[in-house]
Amino acid sequence: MEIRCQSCGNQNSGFLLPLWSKTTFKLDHGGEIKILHLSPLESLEDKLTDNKIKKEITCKECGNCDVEIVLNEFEKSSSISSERQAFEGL
Amino acid sequence: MNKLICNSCFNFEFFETNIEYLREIKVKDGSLVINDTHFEDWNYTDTHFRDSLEDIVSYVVKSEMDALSWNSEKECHENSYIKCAKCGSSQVSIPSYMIKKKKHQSLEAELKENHQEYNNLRRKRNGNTLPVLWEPK
Repeated sequence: MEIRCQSCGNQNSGFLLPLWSKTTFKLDHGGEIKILHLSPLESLEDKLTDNKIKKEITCKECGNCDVEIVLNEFEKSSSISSERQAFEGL
Repeated sequence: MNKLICNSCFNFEFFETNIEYLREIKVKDGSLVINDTHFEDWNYTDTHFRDSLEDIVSYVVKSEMDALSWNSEKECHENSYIKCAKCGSSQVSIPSYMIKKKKHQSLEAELKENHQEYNNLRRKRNGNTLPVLWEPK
């Protein structure tokens, strides 16, 4: 897997992704908020496979949303080599 | 003072809301690694989460009716952001005594109404050294 920022060239490190979560909290009499529990409403894996992640992921370095995600970086090279083998066979 | 109340079970302490939880992802040796995001030594995930929660609560408290929407099936107002954590109801609002009943009053009428209170304040502030504006001869 590879993640690359198209704007600044940042590759594979420092990408921000918000995930919705449900939080239970307590309001004190003084108005202070105490966080009691946190449960995720979205899974990162689902977002990845549904390709929703591209719309929401941002680069930490430059804040740009133009991010390229390659789930299987070997897929392209293997398809090229298989095409080459097919041509050689012909 | 209680900020919010559930109009179904009258709970005023425990509530639920949905918040975006910020994660930092990176790829290491072909695997996806998920962590809290940091800027130098500062945990931005924590701060962002706490600030978002405080913002929602403050918005619901300050906006009064704006955070509520009318549910025509149940025929009641429901909070669009916060739910009760005890009974799961969305009928969460600020306590009714916090809703200001705006009465139409002119500035002049209000000044007259509060004249005595202002005099008391002046008396407290200046003690017995109030200036004598007019004295009978």
